[in-house]
Amino acid sequence: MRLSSAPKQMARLSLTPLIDVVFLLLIFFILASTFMRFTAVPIASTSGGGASTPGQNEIALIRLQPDENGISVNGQQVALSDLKAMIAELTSKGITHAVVQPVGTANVQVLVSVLELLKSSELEKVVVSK
Amino acid sequence: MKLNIPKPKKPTENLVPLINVVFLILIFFLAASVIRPFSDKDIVLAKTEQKTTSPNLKRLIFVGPDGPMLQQGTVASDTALQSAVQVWLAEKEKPVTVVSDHRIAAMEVLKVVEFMRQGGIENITLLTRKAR
Repeated sequence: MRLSSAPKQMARLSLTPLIDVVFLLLIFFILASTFMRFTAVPIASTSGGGASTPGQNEIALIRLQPDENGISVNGQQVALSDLKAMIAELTSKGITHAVVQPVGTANVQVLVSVLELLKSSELEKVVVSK
Repeated sequence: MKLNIPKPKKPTENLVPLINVVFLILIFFLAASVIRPFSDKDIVLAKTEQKTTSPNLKRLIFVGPDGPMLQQGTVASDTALQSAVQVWLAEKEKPVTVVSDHRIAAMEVLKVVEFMRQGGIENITLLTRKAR
């Protein structure tokens, strides 16, 4: 006589360990990640050799002072908001290079703002000097 | 007569929708964020208006109020800096990224930049964050 045994039920997979691991991964990524969008500003320093040496009349000296009213272009005080117009005026007069020089405790934010502004100007080369 | 009626089994919760949602959140975090390259507890980066260049987050040098650091929290000696510069020189084309708080004096950052220039590294960038 042939006995037909009842078909074995497949054991159900437990999902709990999977959920544990996924939760751990989730917590790790929440803690370790950031939504900050990083960018970079190139810093060109004076020691790099240029292809051509600009004449004295082609260079603008931009000094960053530590105080609030703090940027001077060729000795003339200018606010950060007016710097773009000033540089445009200077480039139309034949200025092609700029030297940015932070003075005293002028901070990194000022330097970055000025460098970003100069990058979008017509100037051929901008260098940063101590 | 006492009948032995089997107790009705508690229906088990269906966990599949929960896993689906958790997976979706996980994928969102994987896709939308980057792993923090350094502890930003005491470093607030300077802001820029436009995204210009993508930074190299693997070759970092930190500038704090006490001087340059190769690892956050420990001021690097000149010899340590020198040897780091030698290592970076091997792959000249990749930029070195300077990380500093936005309130640090720009002069301190320039000192480190100058040091690296003298060591032969030309491609140096300053890490910033894009303003929202």
